[in-house]
Amino acid sequence: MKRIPFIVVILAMLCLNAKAQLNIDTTITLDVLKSPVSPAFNMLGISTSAIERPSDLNSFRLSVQNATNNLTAIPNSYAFEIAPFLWGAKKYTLKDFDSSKHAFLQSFTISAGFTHMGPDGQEDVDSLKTTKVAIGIKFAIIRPKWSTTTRKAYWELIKAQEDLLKAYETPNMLNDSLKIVMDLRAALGANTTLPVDVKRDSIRKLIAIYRDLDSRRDSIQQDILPTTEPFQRAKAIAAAFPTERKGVFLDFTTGMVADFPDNRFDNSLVNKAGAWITGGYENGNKGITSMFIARYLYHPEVVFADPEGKISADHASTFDVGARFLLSTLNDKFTLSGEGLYRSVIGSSVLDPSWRLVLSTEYEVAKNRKVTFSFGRNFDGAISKGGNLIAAINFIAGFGGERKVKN
Amino acid sequence: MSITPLKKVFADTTGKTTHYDEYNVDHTDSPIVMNLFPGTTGQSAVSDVIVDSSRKGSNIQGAISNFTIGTGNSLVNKFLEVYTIITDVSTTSNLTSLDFSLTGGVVPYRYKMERTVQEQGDSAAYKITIFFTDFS
Repeated sequence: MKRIPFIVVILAMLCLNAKAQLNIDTTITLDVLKSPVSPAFNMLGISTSAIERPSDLNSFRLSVQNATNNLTAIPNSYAFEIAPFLWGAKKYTLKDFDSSKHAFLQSFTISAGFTHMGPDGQEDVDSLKTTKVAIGIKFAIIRPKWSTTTRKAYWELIKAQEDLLKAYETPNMLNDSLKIVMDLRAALGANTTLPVDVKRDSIRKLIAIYRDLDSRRDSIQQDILPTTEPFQRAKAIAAAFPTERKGVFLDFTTGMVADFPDNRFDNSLVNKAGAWITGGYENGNKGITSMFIARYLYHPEVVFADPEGKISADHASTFDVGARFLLSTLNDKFTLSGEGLYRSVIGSSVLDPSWRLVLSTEYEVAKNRKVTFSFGRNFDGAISKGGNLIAAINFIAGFGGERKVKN
Repeated sequence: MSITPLKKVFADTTGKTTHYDEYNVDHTDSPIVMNLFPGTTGQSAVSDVIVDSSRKGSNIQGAISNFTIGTGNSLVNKFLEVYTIITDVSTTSNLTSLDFSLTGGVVPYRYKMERTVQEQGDSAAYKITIFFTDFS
């Protein structure tokens, strides 16, 4: 019976602490600074489904031909994204993606596009149409190597391919005939007594016979291969190949939009521009994962430092910096995470730069039972009381806690 | 509007994966060098290189760059066989390809083949046979 008051006290404490917890915003909001996948299109407002992504020069030519009705018309909008260094003669096989060596060339993408239309709601009014051109680039400066999981999958794939190669090289019923033709060809090559014409004719016939036999040999092997165990093993691994990376990374993204208000190419204005640099340590969900982002925007859609809209976004330049880290250790029982954001409007005296810091930690005492601690300083001084806000220590016991399983 | 010939459609979905040719070499000590680039980007490849039943390279992963097979003198009247397995790992394309080249002989040599596999993860097997000759 003594347990009942104890449980009531615990429940009351939980309710109080849960209320205190609600006042602390520990949400990770660094994603608002995230660099766009295709910077040019985000700025131009072209939907991602309308973007052409040709994988080689020929498909790019076809894409342009289709968009321009065989070079006879100018479309209202056209956008493409290409990875020009993957179009070259040099091919990158899977193993070339496991290092930083080719990171720049492999990750370099150009996105570009233009629109020729009127303002919202009047897109097709010819007299109101203006031309906007956007261009963006994105590349990795430092790229981490594959994680242990990915490397393990790669070696399992290679083993399956080696077994498959062995199966493909296994002689079949036509190999003896091929060997005879090869021996004849070598003997003919060594023969110096035959007249040139006879030799040439014999070589020509042997080549035709070899090609025919080898084609038939290959046909048999190609039919057999998909039924083999190594083929199916390679397929299972390759179809679900995980691409995880572990290590330091650094990416750069930039883009700009030029406006041609009177549709003359000698009169243009830079309408929007932006640059993002993203770096950190990529580590899946284990150990330390950290990330920082620095962003400069000219004429942003939303001034991040000005949620109340005190200043006009026209010709405003903003600079935002953010960092986040996550430490997970003791078999994921202990996690420590933190996030800091700094935001400012460049050249504006209306808004002072401000910053926000959130630190939270969590320890799993037992299944469904965690001790958590949070500390935060918000952008807004009213909440932080002098700049610091210490929340609470919470003890959360979940319903349906641990249960011992008896054999 | 251009129409793709039916023959081309079938060629793309099957694709030739074996090739035999002859390569003219001189009786000199100049090296005969082979390059082999399996494609397309992101696919996984493993190759064996055999000269007259003697293995010059086993289970070579990815591209083979500047691989010296021998000299013109040592290769005359011999066969080079290159076996390659290319597995489709790339999620953007089911196309596999092989770009093979030789230098060091009378003239440079290059040959390309490609095959589109039916499903993600499928493999394509390629074989190239070259006979080195001093007869022209």
